[in-house]
Amino acid sequence: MIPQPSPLAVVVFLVFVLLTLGLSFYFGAKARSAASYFAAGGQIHWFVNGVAFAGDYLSAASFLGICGMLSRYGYDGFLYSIGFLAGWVVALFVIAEPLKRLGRYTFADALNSRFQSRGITLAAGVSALVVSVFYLIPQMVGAGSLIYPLLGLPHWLGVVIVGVVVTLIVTTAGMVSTTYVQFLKGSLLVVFSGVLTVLILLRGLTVDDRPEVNEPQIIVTQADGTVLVNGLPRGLDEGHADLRPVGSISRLPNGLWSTGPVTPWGYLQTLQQSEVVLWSEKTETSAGIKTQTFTPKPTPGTDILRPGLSPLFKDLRGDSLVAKLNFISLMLALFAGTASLPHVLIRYYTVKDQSAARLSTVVGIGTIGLFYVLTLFLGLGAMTSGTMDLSDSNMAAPLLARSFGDWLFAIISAIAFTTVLGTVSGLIVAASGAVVHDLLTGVARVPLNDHQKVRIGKLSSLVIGAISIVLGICFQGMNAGFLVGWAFSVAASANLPSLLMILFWRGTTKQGVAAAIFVGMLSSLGWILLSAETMQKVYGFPAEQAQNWAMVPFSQPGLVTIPLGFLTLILVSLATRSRNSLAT
Amino acid sequence: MGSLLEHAPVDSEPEDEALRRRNTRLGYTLFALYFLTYAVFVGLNAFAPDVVARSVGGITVAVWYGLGLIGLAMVLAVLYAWLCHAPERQPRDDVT
Repeated sequence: MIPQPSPLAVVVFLVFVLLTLGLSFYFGAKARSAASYFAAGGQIHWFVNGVAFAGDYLSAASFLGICGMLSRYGYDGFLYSIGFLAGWVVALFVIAEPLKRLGRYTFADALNSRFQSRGITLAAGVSALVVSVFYLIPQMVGAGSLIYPLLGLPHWLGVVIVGVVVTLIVTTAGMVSTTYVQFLKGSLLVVFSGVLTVLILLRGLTVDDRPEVNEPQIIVTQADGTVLVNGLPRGLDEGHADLRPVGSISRLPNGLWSTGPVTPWGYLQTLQQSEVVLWSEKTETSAGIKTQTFTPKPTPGTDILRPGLSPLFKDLRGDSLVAKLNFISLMLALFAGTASLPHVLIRYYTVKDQSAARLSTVVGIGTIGLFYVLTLFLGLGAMTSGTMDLSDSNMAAPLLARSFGDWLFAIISAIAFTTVLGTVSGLIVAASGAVVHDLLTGVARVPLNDHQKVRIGKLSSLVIGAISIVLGICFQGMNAGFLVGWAFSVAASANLPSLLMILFWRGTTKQGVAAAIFVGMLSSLGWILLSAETMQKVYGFPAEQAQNWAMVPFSQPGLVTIPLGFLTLILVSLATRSRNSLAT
Repeated sequence: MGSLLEHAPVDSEPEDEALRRRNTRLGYTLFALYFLTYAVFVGLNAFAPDVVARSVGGITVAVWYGLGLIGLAMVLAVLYAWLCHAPERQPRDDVT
């Protein structure tokens, strides 16, 4: 849909960004030491850190992506919420305290607490860098998707703006400022999602029986670039057409027209007995002309409130074993991936002791859990509010907010934007930590004093920021959730086996750890790059060809590469045991 | 890696070994409980989709179970923090 930027939205947006920058500069003046830059000096209060965990974690994928997926396909979006949150249980009960006890600033430190190994430092440093970059891409893509409807600026400019602002934040202040940015963002996200949810419940559900809700829509992109929407050239004025916003109920139970305000349970129950118009999409390309056809499909509520309607999981309800393995693989990667994310791990070091680490994770889980329950309602609300943009599901939540008024739209968009700012800041700090501590100091043994470390840390932040801008532009149009799934799979395959085995198995050797990280990382990356899904979405091959050329049976590597990581660690450790194991 | 370890101490809490082991065991138990619940959820969705499609009190089992998993995570987290803290507040009998 063509953006119609609202001046109010722009103003609120700018206020938020300036507030964020202001906070960053204020705290930046205080960050002088490496301890302060990379780990906030270990002085962040556990409650602040807990909400900051949520701010860190609830990225563009969570807020924009999951709501978007829920609004288009129903329950399948919720699966991501469940998997993401479950990963925190791993983080809290298995990783939090041991990790805090072991480390200083980075994941590599934690692994190296028992060995003093350059091999491990190299592997862990590279892994942290790779995962951070993969996690950065969907955030930048999300930023571009957000800026376009909000300000009417092209996608690449949105990416550049985010990149510049974040780099400014991070190079001036490091972990302390990112912590307060995350705290601010986490709180706002939950509060305003709560406000939106209440408004959705007050609005209730209403039947929409206008004739156009049942008419398919077609976008034709011709070889010369001109775009036709529903037969007319795309545009807002006379003789032109734009994609119609969609999302409606075709039938309510008991012949009701409108429910009026409902309770949360009432909302779900009513939806289950209703019929909602969902939309399927088919893309065909021939002779340089791309035709996207969107077809409305009235779907019973019972179908929507269970998994299986999205393209990712569409064969789940049938008999295909491959589809089921793919599903299990993704749920496993989400479960295992959270604790393995470098930008999450690094936040364990910003509190003063183990008890604080534990408490902050509890606050984090509470905040995130609450948020995911709210997003269920946001997604379903967007599905039934007649505001969805079929060409970009990432805008579901903000567009839903717009239906309640410009103020809410402005605030929600600004929050979504600071969501991206917060996550990207955290990622860049984690990545620059990997560069300075692990690769430069640990592996290359470049001698650096404290002051130099901070300077180089900031320089790395700048470079990584620039790289992420470029990649964000390259990957435009890809689904943010899909990209985050990549990051999770790689993180889980590369990091989790080593983390767990170091904690639990005395036979672990340093060669085992280094090997496991490399094998896990490379195998999961390789699997993803050779999968049908990547062939179709990244390299651009048509669907059938992608299926034929894919070298792996299903797209999500976790089920295979995570155990592979464990196996590698065990085998290599056994092979090098006599020299090096923890047991000697 | 010596240079990395000499900054302001990040962990300066003198820890009771027995307490630490107890907390760790508690953590694993709660984790195992959650993992099992999660695994059943994944298994049902993969291999018994009819079960999750059933309706209980007007809401699908899928939705109940999903919300339940979120709720369980929150409950277990609070339980863990509370139980870990508890012995630290009690006076130790064997300290003279």
